[in-house]
Amino acid sequence: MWRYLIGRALQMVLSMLVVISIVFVLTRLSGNPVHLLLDVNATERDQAILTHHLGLDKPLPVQYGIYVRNIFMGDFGNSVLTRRPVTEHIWERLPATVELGFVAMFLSVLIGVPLGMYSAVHRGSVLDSAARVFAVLGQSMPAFWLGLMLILIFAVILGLFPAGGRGGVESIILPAFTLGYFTSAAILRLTRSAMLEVLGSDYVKFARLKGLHEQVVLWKHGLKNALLPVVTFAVMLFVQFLGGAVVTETVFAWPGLGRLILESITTRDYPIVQAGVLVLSALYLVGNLFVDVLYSYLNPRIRHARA
Amino acid sequence: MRRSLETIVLIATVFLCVAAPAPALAAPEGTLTVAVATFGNERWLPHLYVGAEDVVLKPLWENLLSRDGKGNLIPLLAERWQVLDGGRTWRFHLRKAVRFHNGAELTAEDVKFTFTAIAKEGSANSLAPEFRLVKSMEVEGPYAIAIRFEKPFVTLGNRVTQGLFGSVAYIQSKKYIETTGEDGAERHPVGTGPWKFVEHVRGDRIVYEAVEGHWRAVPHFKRLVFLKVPEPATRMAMLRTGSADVIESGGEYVDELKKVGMRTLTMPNTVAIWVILGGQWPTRPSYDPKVPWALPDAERARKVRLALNLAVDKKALFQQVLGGVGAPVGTVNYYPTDPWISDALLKPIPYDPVRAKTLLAEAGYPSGFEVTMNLTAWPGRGFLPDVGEAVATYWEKIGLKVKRRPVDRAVFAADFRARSYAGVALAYAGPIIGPEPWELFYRISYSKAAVHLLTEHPKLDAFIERLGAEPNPTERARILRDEMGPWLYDYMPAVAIGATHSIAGVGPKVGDWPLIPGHMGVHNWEYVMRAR
Amino acid sequence: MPARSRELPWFAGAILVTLVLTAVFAPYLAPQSPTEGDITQKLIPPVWMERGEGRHPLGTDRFGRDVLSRVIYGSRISLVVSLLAIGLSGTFGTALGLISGYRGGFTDSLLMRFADIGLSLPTILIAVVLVAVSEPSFRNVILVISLLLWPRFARQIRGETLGIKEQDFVALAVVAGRSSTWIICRHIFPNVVPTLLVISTLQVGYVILLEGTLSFLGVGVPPPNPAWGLMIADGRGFLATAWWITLFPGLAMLLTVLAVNLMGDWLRDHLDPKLRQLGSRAEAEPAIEPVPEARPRGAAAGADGG
Repeated sequence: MWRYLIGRALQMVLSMLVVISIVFVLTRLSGNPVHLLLDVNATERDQAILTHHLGLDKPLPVQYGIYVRNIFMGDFGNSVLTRRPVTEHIWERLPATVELGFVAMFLSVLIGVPLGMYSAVHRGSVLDSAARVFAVLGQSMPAFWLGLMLILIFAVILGLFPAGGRGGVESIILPAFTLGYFTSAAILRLTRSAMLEVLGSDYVKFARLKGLHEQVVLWKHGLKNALLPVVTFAVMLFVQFLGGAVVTETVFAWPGLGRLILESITTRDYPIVQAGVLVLSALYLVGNLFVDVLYSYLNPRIRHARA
Repeated sequence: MRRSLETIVLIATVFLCVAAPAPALAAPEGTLTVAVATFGNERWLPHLYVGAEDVVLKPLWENLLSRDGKGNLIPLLAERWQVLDGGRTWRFHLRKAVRFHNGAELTAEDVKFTFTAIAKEGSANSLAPEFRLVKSMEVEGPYAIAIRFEKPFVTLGNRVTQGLFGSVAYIQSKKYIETTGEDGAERHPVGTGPWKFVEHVRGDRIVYEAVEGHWRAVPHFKRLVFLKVPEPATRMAMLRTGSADVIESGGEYVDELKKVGMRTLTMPNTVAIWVILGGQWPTRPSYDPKVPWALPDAERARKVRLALNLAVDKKALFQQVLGGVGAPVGTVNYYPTDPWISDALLKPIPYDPVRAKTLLAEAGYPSGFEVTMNLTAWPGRGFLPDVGEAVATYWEKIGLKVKRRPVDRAVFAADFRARSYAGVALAYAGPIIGPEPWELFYRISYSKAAVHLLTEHPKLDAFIERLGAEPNPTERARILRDEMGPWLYDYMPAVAIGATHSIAGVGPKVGDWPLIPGHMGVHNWEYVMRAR
Repeated sequence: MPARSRELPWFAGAILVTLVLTAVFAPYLAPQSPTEGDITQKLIPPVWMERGEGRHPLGTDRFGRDVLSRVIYGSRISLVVSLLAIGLSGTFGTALGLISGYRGGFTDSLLMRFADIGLSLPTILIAVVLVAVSEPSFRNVILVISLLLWPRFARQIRGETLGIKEQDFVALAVVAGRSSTWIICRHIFPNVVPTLLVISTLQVGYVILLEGTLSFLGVGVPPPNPAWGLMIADGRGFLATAWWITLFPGLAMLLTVLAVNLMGDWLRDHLDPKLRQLGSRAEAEPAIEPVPEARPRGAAAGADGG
């Protein structure tokens, strides 16, 4: 187990290096931030001074070397715009990001699991189809469109929630639902097929034979066993929501990490883009590792398969 | 100077003069929330902000001078000033007992410090090139400063005045910045304005609080919150639901705001729109003489320019694309209310696609030519891509093939500095950063300046130099009307569209909002009243 | 399986057939040009409303272009973008997946690490950077989407290949001295086709939504192309005065993506016996990737990708 983990960790470090390199090259190709920091009528000399100050006049390999070395020393650099540590800006966004990710995941599960169970139990019925269509519907429109529609209906017309910005509890419902509804279809599918498998298994048949109440069979034996894939999936969803909610954050003026990175792309704030993408990729890889380990730990079948 | 009193259209009812503000009767109360598209650079030192972010900076700071309804300069932090030696020396006498938010008194040292910082090497401030012309600054006692120039600088007053766009010569506290350090001063800036700094969360919010007992105006609201809301539809929804009380808008949203029952506030004639026909800098390597509107064959170039102008129905463009907000003007960067406008300069080149086609054929392009239309959304000027699209559609009707190229501002700025705009057209909107048209040209089309967005031409250089050295405003107005205007009208490689207004959507919490005549844009948050 | 769910999803099928026919015959169906407009004719409401005009059954947009014609031509863009992007990434991803799965060992580890890296990058943000580096154009949108999609194919096809490799007929071919290329082409590839079809179908919806999202962020197909996403994005600030400029392309997109997703679900249940048999184990096994949605990347990137 430990060998496996160390191996994976090493692979991860290498992967991260590749990610850093990709993002480094891409951001450098996208233009010089100095053009935006200075007014259009700034002189060549002003540009040169600022470029030098930001260390962008060094040859690219040198810049790359410095960047990678600093990262290994835990220094992600300073924002080009504010000249404050990138980590400060990322930390600033983290509470809002985690909050939104968590609630969105929760809502996604809240929609997906009951519908998935229902649809598994009543497989083939009209209601099965209806549940699936409802979930798939959430996946059939662009998030910005769904978000704007929710704002129009629930904020403007019904006045139930604020239209944007991060305030009290009520301000999180619409953005979280926008994210959560979209992903609930996947949760539904997972729950449904997991339940179908579990319901077809011998021990559920046995439980039924024992004369247990159908609801007990479903919730206790069925769901409990179907839950593992759902839970792991939800964990990964959460990780993904941390940075993958760019559009939702933009539509709802939510001060999350995704928007920070997006806006840093438009201002060519390289260090923030680099660190931001790095953090997101790392979270993904760690989440992936976590899920794999959880699996091999909880699910003997896979542990055997791996061995 | 720029606009006369009778043309100021005030959609909000009352108006008040900056010079004699009525003191607020009740103590400041409540929160005024403003949703804007961008905060700009989000920096707080004179050499770090550019000028485009003045909407969110203006509450905190003040300039030496202000403007009245006729565009005349009036006192603000300076209670009087003298222009000596034909504009080579400017002496400002400061108002006494004006205090920064940390309690320190404003002195001439602060002025000197601020202007020095603006002119620093590597400064981002859009006023830097002009403040670098300063030869020396002499502090003459705590409340007086003399600023000297090598050559006359007749419009320095317009650089240090509140009320124009990008007027970011805000006076900052020398002592505070020196003792707190730049980082400290950036984390908690202090100024002399009617609002003091509370909080800044990058990319999310800026919070100010009313300064009670401010020397000039005590705000009616206790708190002023700027929220960055990049999505226009969300800004609108926030206004409708009361999450925001004021939103920035543009002509394109006027009908929508009306339809949903929101009030709009209009500050007229603040932005001039034209379509630049790029690449006209013959002395530069990026110049491509093969571009149809390029100079070498002056007659051909003239015909092509004229054809591209005749092809566009400017009246329809204002009505349909800009929500009827504004009016066409025939000359680039002239406004209908300018004292130096004449009927001939005002009248746009007519809409005549048939003649446009004929001219194109005469110029040797019977089946049109290919052109790229850059679509760049500038903050606060979100209508520009729409204008570009509309003009492109018109051009297609006379046979041009127009490729639309959406570019973000970083790419635009880089291209622009590299002057790689041969054969490219782009819709541009010049806000009033100086009341006289040549002041903007000085920045964007003077061959001795750093960049030339528009064009460069010895004739234009000559106009700029002549006007810059002419201390008599009446004579300047004459040159602008009788010489430069007609030349621009005929020569300018651009399609002049006209002047449009600044629009704000206003929610129910806002009561009377006396726009200050002579002040551009909606920046005067301290005068916004609470609804009864 | 009960008979009901075995039936072809007629609703979805009908919509998809209509879509393809619309795209193919767009020039005959569209009453007007999709790109030529007249701003004096802007924002004419649909024909059944007051001020509506017969010439513009679904009204006109902000530049006076005919909405119906744009929606009709938009089907072409959606179709072409998804076909090309999926074709490109599918070919590349499948090839790598086959090689990776068949070869195993170091090749496999290396290729799969790359696929992992691809999956770990935040889709939308990378797309925005990529387009900022190049510039928005039809071609670049397709390239960007392909670049983001290929790891999904690679991961899944590799998983399939691993299973097929163990089967007797492959072993026989090896014994018979067939080359790896021959075996991959003749034995393995035909067996992954059903899976490939399922993933591809399920990606169509994602690609269409992603294209719309890129338009929202200003890095999608450039104007005046009648892309649905662009039309929705363009009209989003004018819902009170001109809801029709967003509603109709929105409906077209909604129906298309819904149909494709339902079709994909159905295909998954019926075309791919392996997935059906594996059931939840396959879906849950993190190393294999039976449904794209089961991969969080697909889901969350999609959360915004859509």
